[in-house]
Amino acid sequence: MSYLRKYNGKIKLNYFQVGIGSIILTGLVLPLIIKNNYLIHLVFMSLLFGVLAVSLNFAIGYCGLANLAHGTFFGLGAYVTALLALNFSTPFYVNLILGGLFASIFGILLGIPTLRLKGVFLALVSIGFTQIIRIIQLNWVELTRGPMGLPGIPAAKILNFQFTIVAYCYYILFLLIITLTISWRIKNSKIGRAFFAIKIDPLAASSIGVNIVYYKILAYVISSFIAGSAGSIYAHYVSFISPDTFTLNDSITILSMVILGGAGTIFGPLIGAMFLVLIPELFRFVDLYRMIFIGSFMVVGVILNDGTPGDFLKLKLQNLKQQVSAYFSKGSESL
Amino acid sequence: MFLQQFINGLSMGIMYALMAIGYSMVFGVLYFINFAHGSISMVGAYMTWYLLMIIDVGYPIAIIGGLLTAMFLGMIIEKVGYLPLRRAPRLSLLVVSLGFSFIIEISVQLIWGTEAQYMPPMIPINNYYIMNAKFNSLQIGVLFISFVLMVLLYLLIQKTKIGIVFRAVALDKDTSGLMGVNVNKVISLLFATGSIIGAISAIMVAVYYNSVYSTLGVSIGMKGFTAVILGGIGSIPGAVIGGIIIGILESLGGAYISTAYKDGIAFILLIIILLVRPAGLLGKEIEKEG
Repeated sequence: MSYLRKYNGKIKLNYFQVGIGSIILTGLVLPLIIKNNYLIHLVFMSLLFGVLAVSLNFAIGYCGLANLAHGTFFGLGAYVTALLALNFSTPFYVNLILGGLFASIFGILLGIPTLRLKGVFLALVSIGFTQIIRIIQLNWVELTRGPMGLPGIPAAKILNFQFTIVAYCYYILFLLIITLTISWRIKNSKIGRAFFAIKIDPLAASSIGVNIVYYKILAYVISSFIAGSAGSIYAHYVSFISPDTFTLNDSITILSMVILGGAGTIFGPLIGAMFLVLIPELFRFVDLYRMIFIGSFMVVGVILNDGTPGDFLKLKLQNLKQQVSAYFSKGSESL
Repeated sequence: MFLQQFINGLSMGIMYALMAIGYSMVFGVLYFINFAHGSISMVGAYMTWYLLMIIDVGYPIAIIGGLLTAMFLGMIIEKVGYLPLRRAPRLSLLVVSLGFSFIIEISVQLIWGTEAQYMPPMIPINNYYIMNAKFNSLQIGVLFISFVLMVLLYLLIQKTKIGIVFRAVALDKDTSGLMGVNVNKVISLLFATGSIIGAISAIMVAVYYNSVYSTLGVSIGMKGFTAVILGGIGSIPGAVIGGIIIGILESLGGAYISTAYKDGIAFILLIIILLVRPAGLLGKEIEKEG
């Protein structure tokens, strides 16, 4: 994709439309033709993690904020939804918005104090943040029932139609499309340019008049809002959540989806998410092997990419080209 | 009561401090938090348990075996994972180290199971009292070993040639390379030293709590890097002070506030220190970061 973007200005405009069109088509058709519920569940999960990875990309890929608390925002949205649905039986679309809002409040809470921090330090604070939220979830038993979790969250329904698994797929597909569109719109706007400027050099960005505070907080708000909304959908879908539903490991997995897929690209995180959701399913028979796979994928993938995704392949291609041309030139010499 | 909690906290804190030293050494040179460090140390403790309880070779050999395992594991991970990423963004190193910590932890669970294993005390446990505060021979042993280790490490870094090279590489990798230092070898050696110290800490924690389990590394590791941040990143005395402060505050917090929120104290402290003084108590401003 980046190849196209680099060499042809016109294709740049089209590839998003082509990509999103094929995602919509696949997302609409796939749940209908698959009859196996478990496979539909996998479609749902890859779309869900796609939403999470694409939204984390706003913070990491666009703005350079090493946020390791994305799973926690997701969890906060899910908890708010669960509590609202259980105690006040609010409809699902209200929960979607309120879950997102609640998560984005925490996004601001994490964002404001950490404006000065970057890189590894920000990652550490966000880890601390996830642990504090987790400890609160575990110990505030009156509200969250602690480690027992919240069972029996009612399914989303419109009038009398209760959401089926296919309906949930469409629901999360809808959110994914919105997220990707936001991603596309941001990237090609003033906001996106400000984000990238902050990522590359905050000092230079501020000296040419980019309001760093505003844009950093904006990145947190957008990404945590979408994560919270995804959490809301997930809570309705699984009907049981506990502090173990979203651990630090999930945040790390989402982060590696973004890094492996390509931080800062539009469809990269989605592809990374599908990869890390679907491929480990081959190792489904033992859950532990799945984590080993994810771990090795993180190690091997990043090393191959040498940190900057795409570079490795580009380099290989260049080497190949050089070798091929060297081979031919040598051939012509000997002839 | 206060004195009692203080003693417990001190002996816990000094083990956090040892763990923190490993993080700090790596950060001083490569500017990232090596998340696999806790897991590497845990493998050292597991290997000691395995040699001691299953193969039954006696404590001294078991400990040496555990330390060597951790040392080689640390060096291999550095060679495989971090060497190719010297010029990569620090976030990539972070992801790789998290990946390694996944792999190690799950492998240990696959090999030795998920349940906690019994680790016998190394020395007979006797109780002593100062003004109603009880402390035992294990705590004295922990304090003594840690103190000796820290003095040795201080001498190593300040007085020997290897120490000079360590400091040179931490100060400027490129220049020390130009001066004829084999930087990659030094970094490898650094990982070996750090892993051994981390493994000693993990073994002591295992003996102290009579058990060894696969998440041991992560749980003390979390406290370890909090201690590094608190004390000032890249500064070894800072790591020691940070570890001790966290141990004591946790112990006091557990006694006076709530045991449920005990584990949160370290993280709240972490966030406060990063907000108020990101360089830590003894650290200097980090400029090379990204």
